Amino acid sequence: MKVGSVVTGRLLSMIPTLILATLIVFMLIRLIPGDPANAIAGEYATPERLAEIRSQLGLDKPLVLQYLGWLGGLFTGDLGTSFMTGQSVLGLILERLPVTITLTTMGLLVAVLIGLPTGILSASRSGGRLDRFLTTAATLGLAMPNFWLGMVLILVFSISLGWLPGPGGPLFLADPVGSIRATVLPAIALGMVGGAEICRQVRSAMVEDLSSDHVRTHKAKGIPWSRILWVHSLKNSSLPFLTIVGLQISRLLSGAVVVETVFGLSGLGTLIVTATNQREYLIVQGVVLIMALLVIFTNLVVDVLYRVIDPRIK
Amino acid sequence: MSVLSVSDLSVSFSDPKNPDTKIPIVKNIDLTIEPGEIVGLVGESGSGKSVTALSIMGLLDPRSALIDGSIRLQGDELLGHGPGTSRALRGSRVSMVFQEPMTALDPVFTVGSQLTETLRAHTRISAKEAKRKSIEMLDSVGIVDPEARFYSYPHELSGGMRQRVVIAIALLCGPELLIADEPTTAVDATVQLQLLDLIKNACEATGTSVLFITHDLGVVSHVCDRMATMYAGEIVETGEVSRVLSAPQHPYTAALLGALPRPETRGQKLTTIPGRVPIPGTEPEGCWFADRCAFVADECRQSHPSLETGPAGTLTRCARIDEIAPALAATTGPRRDIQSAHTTGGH
Repeated sequence: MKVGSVVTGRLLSMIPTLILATLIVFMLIRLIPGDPANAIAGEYATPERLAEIRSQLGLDKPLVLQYLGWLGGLFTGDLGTSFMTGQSVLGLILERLPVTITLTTMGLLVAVLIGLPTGILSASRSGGRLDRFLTTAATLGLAMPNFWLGMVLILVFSISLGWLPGPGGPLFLADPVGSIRATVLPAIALGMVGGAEICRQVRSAMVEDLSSDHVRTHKAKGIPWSRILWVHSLKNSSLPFLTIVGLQISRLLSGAVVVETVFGLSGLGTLIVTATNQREYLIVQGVVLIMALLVIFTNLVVDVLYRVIDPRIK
Repeated sequence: MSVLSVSDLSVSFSDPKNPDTKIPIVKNIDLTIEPGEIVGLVGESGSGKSVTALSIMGLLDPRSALIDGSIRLQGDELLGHGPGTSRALRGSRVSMVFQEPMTALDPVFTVGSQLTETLRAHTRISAKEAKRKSIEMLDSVGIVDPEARFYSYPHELSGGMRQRVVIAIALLCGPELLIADEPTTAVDATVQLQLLDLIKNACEATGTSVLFITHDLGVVSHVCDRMATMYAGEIVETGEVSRVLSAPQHPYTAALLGALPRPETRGQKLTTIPGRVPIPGTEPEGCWFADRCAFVADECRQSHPSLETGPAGTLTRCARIDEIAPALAATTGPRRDIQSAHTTGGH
């Protein structure tokens, strides 16, 4: 199968996934006690007032109609408006999206930069002292919650040492450089767990590959060890590596919700947290939709890369 | 000067459960290979054939394997060097063909790149020249349309073709010694004979000596000049193939021979050798084959026999050779028809 038809196939299979994701979030958010009318009218509102607000917002219609109405809007690019402020949901998301994209991209970069070299090093010395040290470090890294790591990083690097800005970064579009600087610490907090996971997966894939027959052939050919390790074994181990990177994308996006809150970044994560508290149904739905799109898209990229790397995958 | 001269080679491995104890696998092997000679190393699984080969190649893990003795290639000692030295020899002066062609090649690199990188690891050569030489080599091992196959991936080739590629890689740098470790065991019977002839003819043409490891005496009689039978990590019989196979002096070689299918035994059950090779470290006192030997006597359990020149001019490790050899000759008879089950009909 050609790459083009793979992409088309994948894009088509995205549609049911997306519909399912939106349906689930549509239901879940409505299961939370309290609704936007409560949030808008306050604690002491009369039942009549609440009913009035609900009918203004269209929340008195049957759920099926509400969902279909929202779904219909999607086709014209209309994600609805905020119940509270009347702002366009799409506008809110687009304003916050660059922050989250920068954060997750840098988080992924941190994860790969930490995980890949340590994994390779660990595998090449498997059973040795360095391998044991790195494996222990990776286990510790996996066990470290990102919000805790975030707070430690803030304490050390921004409060004690003053090297990097603390919580509260500028919006990406207003000040790109400042925004990236403000994203360094959160990206480390976010990417550390992923790095540990990548290290473990790369190590085990390469340890297995290094004991394989084709590596023995390379040794018998007299190929230098460094080339066997960094060229042959690495390429042979890159499918599990890509798989774990693909999985990390969704972990990073969900981790961003916590890390953005700890670091006070105005990205999609903080947007969805506030929106959930205020029962801004449409904002929550919109953000989840965008995140699902991001995850599906990166998995598509990973899928195409599989075929580029391994000629056996048809 | 001998191309390969192995003397008093012993290999032991550390016990994973008890790192201080070493388990001997190969015991005091002596083996020489002259220029252009094809020597067969024969024995059943666990006899130490492959470990002998891997120690000559320098492919045993120094963390677990302890190698003693001397291995000389054209007089150059191979043991006791750092890893760099033996890497430089591997692929250029000694090379190896493995048993399993389906997994021996790197699946995510083209056939061509796996050949050219071998050349470029050992010689200063331009990419263009490396490609030309590689295609030439693919052609000479009988690969049809070598220019196109140069860009193929291993999975696009059949098992026999892949083994031809492995042979091409092994012969690419014009080695003095080729070690072939059961190279035809895993391929189709119809391809076996072609590959055997390919190895034989290609090495004859370049003057490359071959250490041919196999459990198949039919293969030995087809390609080898001399042979050595290994049992439980030591050589029990060695000599010219024609002499050993026509009149085996050691009961083990005779038993292996008896296990081969022959036209006159068609329809009968094949003979098997009862029992199994002793677990390394638990060899009995006296002859190690005694427990499985049809000719065992009390004297066999007294002391471990040494390799002695027998009446047929071959070296044999058997205490009762004078009594057994005539008896063996009577049971096995002169053998000029030896062919393995797989190669039968291939001539």
